[in-house]
Amino acid sequence: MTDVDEIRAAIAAIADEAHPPLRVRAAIDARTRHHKQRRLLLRAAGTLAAAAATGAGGVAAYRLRRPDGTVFPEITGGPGGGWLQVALRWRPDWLPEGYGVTTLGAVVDGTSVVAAERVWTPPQRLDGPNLASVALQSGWSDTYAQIPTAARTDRVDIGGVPGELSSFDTGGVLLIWQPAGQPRLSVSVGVDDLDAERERDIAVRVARSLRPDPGTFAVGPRPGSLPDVFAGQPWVYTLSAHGTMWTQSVLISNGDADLDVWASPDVRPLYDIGGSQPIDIDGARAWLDVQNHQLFVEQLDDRDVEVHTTIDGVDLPQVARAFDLGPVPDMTWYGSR
Amino acid sequence: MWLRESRMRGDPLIFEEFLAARLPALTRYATALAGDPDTGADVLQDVLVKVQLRWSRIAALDQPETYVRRMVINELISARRQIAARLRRESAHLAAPVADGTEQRADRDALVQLIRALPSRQRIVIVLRYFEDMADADIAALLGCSLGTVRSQASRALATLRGIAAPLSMEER
Repeated sequence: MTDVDEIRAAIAAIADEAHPPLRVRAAIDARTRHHKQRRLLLRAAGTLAAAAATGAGGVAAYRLRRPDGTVFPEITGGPGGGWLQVALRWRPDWLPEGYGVTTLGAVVDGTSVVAAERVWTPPQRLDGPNLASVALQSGWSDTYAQIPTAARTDRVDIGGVPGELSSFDTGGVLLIWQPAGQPRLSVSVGVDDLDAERERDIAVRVARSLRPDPGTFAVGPRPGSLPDVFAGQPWVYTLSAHGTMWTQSVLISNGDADLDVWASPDVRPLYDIGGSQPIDIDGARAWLDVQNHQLFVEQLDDRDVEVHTTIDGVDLPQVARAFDLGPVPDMTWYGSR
Repeated sequence: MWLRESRMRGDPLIFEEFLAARLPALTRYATALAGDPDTGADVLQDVLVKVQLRWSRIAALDQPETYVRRMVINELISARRQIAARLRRESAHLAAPVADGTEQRADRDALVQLIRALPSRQRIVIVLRYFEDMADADIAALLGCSLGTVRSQASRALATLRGIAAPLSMEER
């Protein structure tokens, strides 16, 4: 056997250890659902420190740790703050054991907040993603709410208000109700696809435990001038974390076309920038992929930025130049209750 | 939490076909590049989630799989992956020769451990060159670096592997 054959055989031995494709496939399906959940609803720039400073009842200032080694890592953020304050309105008194806030967000229409959401998950795992989450949304946006066909729907009582509890073939449950004089509320739970009853119990228990919450958080980023096709549309702003990096995103949709902006201290472009057109965005290096409607900007206002749209004819460099990323978000809320 | 569910799923039928046909090979590919099955699966899952969300665009490319394979490499050499890989290397120990009666088996095990412990870029170059049988120029194009960089990475990797493979008069291709 030659030396090259030895190397090939050694690499093949490593490849032979690959997990079974079906197991990988199941994990992809679960992770896709989780990714959608985390992306789809609101991840807003949280400045709960500001809420606490004003005496508002924000997230409790302790970081949850568990004895099994899973933790909510410290996420290095910035001063936070922003141009728009989002009222949280409600908070649950009860959550599954060990859950902490990992996502905040809002749907913004002009200068108004249409909906706000917090997502609680178990701590990050060292061996993979969390696939469980509980989300509370206050308010509603028809533009961004497309609920799949329910496999089962029940009527439940939430403090004397009728609610509709739906479960779906793709997993997860959604509970919607609207107290008199209040915005529509919803709790979505994705904990265990194999135990829909448990998910339904959690959703109802979380909903029944809600208490008023005067806390707020701030939205930092703001789109500037936009192409006509997106101008004036409400948009979704979310802030969360991947590993130890915070990630902001703004998604603008008109129902047919999307424009999304992702920003993080360290974002890898999802395309080969080597084949893209190098350009300058306000002094930052950038790469424009005209054919695939995407732009990657390196370290613009202390963060890497990716801009993507689904349609032709959008001047992505202009979108990036006009986009106000706002201050680096505060992340001290991450992992708190 | 359920926004735009159907549209973000892309085209499930075509993506399903791609996965059904290519997932076994991609799983082995990611495992070999990563040097361990857990990282390989984790990276591949991350990538395929992104692929699924953007499938309509990726499927329109001439060679979607090439694009996906490039994404796997990009993900492997991303900053956060590098941190995890460094921690893994620091905790990696060269296996002692296995007393199973075959010296060849012990050499193979030791070589496997050395390949696992290579810096990510070096291991990627070695895997692409010797497992995927790619030419250095193609590797350079895939990694977005110069031909010289590929060869220097390969040279360093081979120098490390020579620690046990020198008696086999290993030569660079």
